Amino acid sequence: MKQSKHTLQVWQIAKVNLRHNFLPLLLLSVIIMMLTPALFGITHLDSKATAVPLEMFLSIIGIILLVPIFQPEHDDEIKDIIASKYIDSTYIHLIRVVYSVVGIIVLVLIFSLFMLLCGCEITMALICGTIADAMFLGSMGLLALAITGNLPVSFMVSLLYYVINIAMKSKLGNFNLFAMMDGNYKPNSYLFVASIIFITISVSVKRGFAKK
Amino acid sequence: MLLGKEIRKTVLSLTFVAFIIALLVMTISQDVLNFSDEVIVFPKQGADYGIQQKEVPELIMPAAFSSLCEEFAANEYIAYPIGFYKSVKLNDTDREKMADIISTLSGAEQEDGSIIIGKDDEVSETKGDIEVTLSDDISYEEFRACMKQADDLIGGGSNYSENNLLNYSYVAVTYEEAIENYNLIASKDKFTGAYARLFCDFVGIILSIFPVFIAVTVCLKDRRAKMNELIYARKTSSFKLILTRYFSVIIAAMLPTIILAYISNISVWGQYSGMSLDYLAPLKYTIGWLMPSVMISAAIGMFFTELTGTPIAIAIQGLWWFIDINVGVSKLRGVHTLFELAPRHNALRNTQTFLDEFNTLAANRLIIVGAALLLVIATVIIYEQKRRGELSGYETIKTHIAGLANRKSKSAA
Repeated sequence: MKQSKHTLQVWQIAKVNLRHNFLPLLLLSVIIMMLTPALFGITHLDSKATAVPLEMFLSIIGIILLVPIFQPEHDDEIKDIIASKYIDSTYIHLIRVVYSVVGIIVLVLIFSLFMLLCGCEITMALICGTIADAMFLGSMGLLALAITGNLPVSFMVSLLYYVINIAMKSKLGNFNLFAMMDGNYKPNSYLFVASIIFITISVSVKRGFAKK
Repeated sequence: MLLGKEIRKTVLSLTFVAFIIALLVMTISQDVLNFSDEVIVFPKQGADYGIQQKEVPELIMPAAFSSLCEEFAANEYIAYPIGFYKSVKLNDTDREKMADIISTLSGAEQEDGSIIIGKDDEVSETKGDIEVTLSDDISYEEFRACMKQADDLIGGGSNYSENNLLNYSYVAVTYEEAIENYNLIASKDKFTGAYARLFCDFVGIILSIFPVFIAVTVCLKDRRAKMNELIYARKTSSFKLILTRYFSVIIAAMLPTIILAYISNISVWGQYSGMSLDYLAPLKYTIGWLMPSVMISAAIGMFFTELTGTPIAIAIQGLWWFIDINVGVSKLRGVHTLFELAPRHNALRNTQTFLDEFNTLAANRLIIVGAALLLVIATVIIYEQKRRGELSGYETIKTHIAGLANRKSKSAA
């Protein structure tokens, strides 16, 4: 009984957040995803060429879906409503993190399937690597948002890292976002672990600020 | 007075600090903040002057034709449609059309997408097995027309596009040409212009996107501080307010850029003592080359933020920027188009290309400035409408959607 009440609560929170906060971001991500084949031909690509649209285009959806997770609370009225509820705001943040990461995974999988149907060489490593890239870029901005509370600055942080990768990718070692297109999959595990750390720190920082 | 206040507000924001960091990271990482290691010296006789692209039909025609035959045999064409690598495989219909092109160029017959050399000799489709040669009767103009057709079949950006054909024609720079290039830099660029141009090439990447963040922050600040109604009631006209804010963003973005341009340029002044230098080159280039990009980026930021009350401008400008920088990769040597956001000229020399392309570049910059000013005027109109209570942008849409959702749940209940 207690279990079902808890599940219902999670579902209610997720439903409200999905409708009000996530849908516009998901729509924007889908636009980016649909634009990719228009900008970059995705037929009969070998694994290195397949990595290019995945790393350079699809990874951007991580910025769109993850960075604004704490944004709703920037509206004082919403912040007051959430604070007045007995449910811990960390709980709500974690629900948002989960559905955003699931959103990234689903979009990457859909796009990978589409590429596979177009005759591209898609491997599990490429799919996981793209998810790690997207999560790293997004979590970096999320951490900036947790610390600064400034959404444009948070987007700037993620975007700056993206630009740095274009300009000097070989110098970034294990934190190179675009390593898969050179056939190197090692950095993606570092990026994935770093993204989990960034997300954990972000939620903790937000929790710390909420308690003050 | 108002301008001073707005500049102070912009400069004291976290967004501006992030912008400065982005500028420094870009200039330092790309080695354009200190040019002291890249001195342009008068060519010495007998030295290696490097190579250059030159349109030599005798070099281009056989090399491009041979490459096309190889790619045709493997049915795998390399292309860079927007600057990224792409491997294209043609379907049967397009393969036949490509065979027609090769047939026209070589004089060999084609049948069902295969080239027939002799009577019973059919070329296998294995890579590198094509043995046809370019017909002597083909003129360079005919050859270029065929290559254009081939490029269209591949989808553009292939090795046979007008620009990429030049990649088959690299020739050594002669002593005379080296002197000519040097004299051009000395007389037209007065040395400093060449360095300022390379600085702009890299910094343009940052300045065509990051001002949108500053503009969005400035516009959202009133909303977050719930100061909108208070400002709406003030006597200051919408025109004055929006224009002041706009120029505060432009000044905030341009001042550090000009300072960095001078820091970068001054690093080589000492190397050219006794020569005629253009000390205003960093100023001229940053204003002429970079300011239009800053203007459009800030204008898009203000327009869409005032229109929707959301940071959607970041996504819009981000998308344009993303496409533009990738398309720009194929024009690094200084070729320009009318609607580019961040013009590229990724070479210290190449002054002749800059002079040849100057009119297109100037037209592009004027179009961008014009578009930016139109957006600013549109922002003034939107702001005025909001002030009169006739437009509330995204809030109205949000209320309607919420109303609709509520009605739905009520009827379901």
